[in-house]
Amino acid sequence: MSDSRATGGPDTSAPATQSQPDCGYCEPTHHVDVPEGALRVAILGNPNAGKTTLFNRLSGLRAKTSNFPGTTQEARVGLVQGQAPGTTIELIDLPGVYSLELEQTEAFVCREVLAGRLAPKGERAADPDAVLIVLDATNLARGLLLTGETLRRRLPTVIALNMIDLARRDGAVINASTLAHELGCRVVEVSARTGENVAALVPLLCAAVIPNQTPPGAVDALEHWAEELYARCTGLAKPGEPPQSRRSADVTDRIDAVTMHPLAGPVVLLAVMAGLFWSIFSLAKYPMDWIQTVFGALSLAIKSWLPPGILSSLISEGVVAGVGATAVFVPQICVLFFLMSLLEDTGYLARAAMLMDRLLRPFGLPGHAFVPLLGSHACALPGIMATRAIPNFNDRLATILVAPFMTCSARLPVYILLTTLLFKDRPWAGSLAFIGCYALGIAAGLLSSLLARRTFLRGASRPMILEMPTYKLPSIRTALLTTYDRGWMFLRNAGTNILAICVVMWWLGAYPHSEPPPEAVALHQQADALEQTNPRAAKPIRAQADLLEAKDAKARSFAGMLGRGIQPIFAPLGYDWQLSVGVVSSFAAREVFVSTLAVVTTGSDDNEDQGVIEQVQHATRDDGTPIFTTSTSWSLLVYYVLAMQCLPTLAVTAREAGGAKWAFLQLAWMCGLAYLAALVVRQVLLWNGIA
Amino acid sequence: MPAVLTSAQRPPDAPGLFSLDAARVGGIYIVERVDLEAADAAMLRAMGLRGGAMIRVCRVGEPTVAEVISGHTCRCQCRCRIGIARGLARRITLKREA
Repeated sequence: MSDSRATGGPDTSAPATQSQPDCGYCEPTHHVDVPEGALRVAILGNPNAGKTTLFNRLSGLRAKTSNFPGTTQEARVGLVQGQAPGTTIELIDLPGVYSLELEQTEAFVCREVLAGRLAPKGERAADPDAVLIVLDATNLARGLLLTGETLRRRLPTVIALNMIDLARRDGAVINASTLAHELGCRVVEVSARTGENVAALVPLLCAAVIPNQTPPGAVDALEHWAEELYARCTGLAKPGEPPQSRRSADVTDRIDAVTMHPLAGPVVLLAVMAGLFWSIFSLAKYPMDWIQTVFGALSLAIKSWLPPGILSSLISEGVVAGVGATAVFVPQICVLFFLMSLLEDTGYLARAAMLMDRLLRPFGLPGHAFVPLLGSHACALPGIMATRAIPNFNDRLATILVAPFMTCSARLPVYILLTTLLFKDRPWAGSLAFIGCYALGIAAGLLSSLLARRTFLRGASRPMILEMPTYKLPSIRTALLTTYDRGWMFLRNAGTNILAICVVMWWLGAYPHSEPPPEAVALHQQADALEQTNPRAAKPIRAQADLLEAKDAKARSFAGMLGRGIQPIFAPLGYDWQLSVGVVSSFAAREVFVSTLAVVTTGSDDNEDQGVIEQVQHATRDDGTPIFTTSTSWSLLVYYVLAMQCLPTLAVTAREAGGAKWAFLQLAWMCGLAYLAALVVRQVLLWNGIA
Repeated sequence: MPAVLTSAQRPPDAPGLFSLDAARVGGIYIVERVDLEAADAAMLRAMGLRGGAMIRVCRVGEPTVAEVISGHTCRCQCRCRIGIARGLARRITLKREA
């Protein structure tokens, strides 16, 4: 490739690439449009070689995430301004691989992209204009094998000798010019972590050339070639010389002595996970409150701006409520991914996965499932998407199917309501019940996986082989970019689904319109009469009228009809039509349960108000008996721990597992198990005289 | 190779050989052979753990951790540390460094 090719793109005025400084941070945009004529550069490297850190360093926020068609392999595309004004480089971050010839999806994707037969979704498949091979300078010998395999593809190539700062710190001596000479392509010593020399890659990528060396093809010969090359570049091929002192390896040994210790290791893991959860719930609390406040205020403002009617109701109760219902979880998702990224960067997450492998494998799950299951405790959607890192299909499918059993954030409002109702004056007992809900979800997930692996997913999970990188300080920049990327992906994937579902649920709850009941009309008239003479007395009367009207409207709505229609199914669990409406409406998203119940039983959806919880507690059935008896509340709590009440999760399951049948199986199994468990709990309580 | 070996067992057919999970922590060994399924063996080979490779045993048990410190000919500063489930480590045969 020549410079003229680099600067010869026909369209250099695409808005996404104009006036962008090299840092790529001045115009943050997630919707990157790759301009015609952009140079396509595939970034290839071993796992843990710092490939993604380099990608982030080069493209910054000018990146988008999709997947490679026909696979669940994630694809990241980023834009970098080229050397010449107006030129753009399109970076494609390929999955990390140890060899292009392995029989795994990651290697398949790399082979196909390098051959020009595959491109990230939405991009045109074409031969890459250049390959940027990222080598880990602290682990050069292994990376040279992949380099040899890539050079045989005869593509313009540039080598980034990454982590050069760490290699120097450890006393490694790598002769980059010898390496460049032997490979026949440009080699740049960089540190993606610190940014050292990264900018020097851009002009070299624009002028990349096909290497003039062709390594051997046979595996044995290639390994020998890589070792000899390594020896020539490092000058360490002296027979009998002991391995060099490796400071960071010694540090890693010392840390591993604790983190991988049979007794201390699990304790450290528990402490790290406890810290992670504490951070998710405590740090995210404030932004979650702010988001709720903002969306609440927005809803009220829309109601006051627009005349009462369908449009006002649709926007304030359907659209704004729907977006708010999703947005409120973004802080937790962001905290989760930020901390997970930091943990992964330090090298600890690989150790945690290896430790968990021993615990998970008896249940048919691999250690790889640890991160997805952990992520599912914030939300099942990113958890299920994280299963893409599990190499074996059956292992992956088992993890996808059981991930929604983990207690996600959307269940928390329901847990809070029900444990408050059950243990109003015993907060310690409420806390124990809360922890019990988490434990029940985990146990149900593990046992379900065991059952699956003994029946339709026969076979034990595959034992793990995992590289355990040396410990190092994490990159805050990478963590922030990952957080931004994942947060946005969550909003885009889940927000659209939940928004649509909320609009549907709004329609079901708002239609058909019915006349207000005579009692409400009479109270409104009474309030109108008092308004002039005694406004303070009129207010509670009007509130009572509104409550009656809302309850009546909900009861006569399609959702109410549905609730009454299915109430006989839930009758053995102790649910009346009002609870049945709550259960049905929360099928779209669990968190809707509390607000729906508040509307049905009190006429207000302000579930933050302790008074509303009081009213819910004292809400009655049509025959005047309380809705929330002890046995009903326990039954409902168990039902919500186990039931699949999240349509977006089902949609993601169908997509990630490769068919709607898996989503139906997940739905049927989880709801069936939830029903059965809730029934058993209620009947046992009734037999023991606890109503 | 038998499916299960105790940590004290040596492969009966070859004196002086050890399975990886029976090796001494901190010891340096040469990989004699890797008797795993093709996919696992190929993965380990690509990671540098193959016949003739020199490794340092960092941890024995579940999981077993080995650090690949060289290939056939060179002694290097590379440090590919690999965690391997114990069941797989049992099927990796080592000999003492000459």
